[in-house]
Amino acid sequence: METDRPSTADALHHDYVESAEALAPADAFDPVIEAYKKDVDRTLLWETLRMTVDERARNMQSAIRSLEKLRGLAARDTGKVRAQTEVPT
Amino acid sequence: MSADLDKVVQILVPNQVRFILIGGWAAALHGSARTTLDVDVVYSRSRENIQRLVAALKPFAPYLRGAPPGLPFHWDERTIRNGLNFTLKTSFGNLDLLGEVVGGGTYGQLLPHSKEVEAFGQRFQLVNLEKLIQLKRAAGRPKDLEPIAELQALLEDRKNL
Repeated sequence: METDRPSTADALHHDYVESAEALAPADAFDPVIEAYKKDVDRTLLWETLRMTVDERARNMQSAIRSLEKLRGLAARDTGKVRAQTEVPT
Repeated sequence: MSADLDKVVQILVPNQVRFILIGGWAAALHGSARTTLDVDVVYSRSRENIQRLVAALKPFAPYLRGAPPGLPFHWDERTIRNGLNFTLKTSFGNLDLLGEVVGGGTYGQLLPHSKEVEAFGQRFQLVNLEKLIQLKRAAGRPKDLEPIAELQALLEDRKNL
């Protein structure tokens, strides 16, 4: 039968994980994070919060693929410019 | 090279690999607008799960990301059992397999802090937003300060919406 019984490694890390459990709560106040929070575009977040998990996943996947395509085009164009400006020796 | 979450879940879920999605993709599924370049999962290190993981990924030629070619890296059960965390390059993109994560522990320890979600037609475990923030904090990386701020904003706005 398949189990996720604690292994030796789990046992060795028990104290460590206990301390992880004692980490500050997710919404704990941190002045550094608060400073960064001022720059968060909340309108973008409100948009994604209205979506389902599947819609968020598909949205992100599409953004990543577009980014990859742009990177590919940029790399190709950089290669072309290099080839055009190369001085024959 | 990036990683497509849709490919990862289409490979792992039908092969019954037990995993929890964490990292940038988890943030995106919670509503983050930041893009990410890899998929991070915490996998169960049970013997059966390691067998399924090895079989599921074998056709996609997993290799250590950033390592010089030609290293004697064999994608098999022994390698997974002898290691813990693997940053992989595969034919479908980058995949980080974590046996344990700072601030969250193992799959079994992280499971109570996750929930089942559905995306790309597959159901899988997603670390909850509160734990994701704690994981990012525990990692202690300066590059995570902006993402943590965004995740905390999400937590606040989710409560207020």
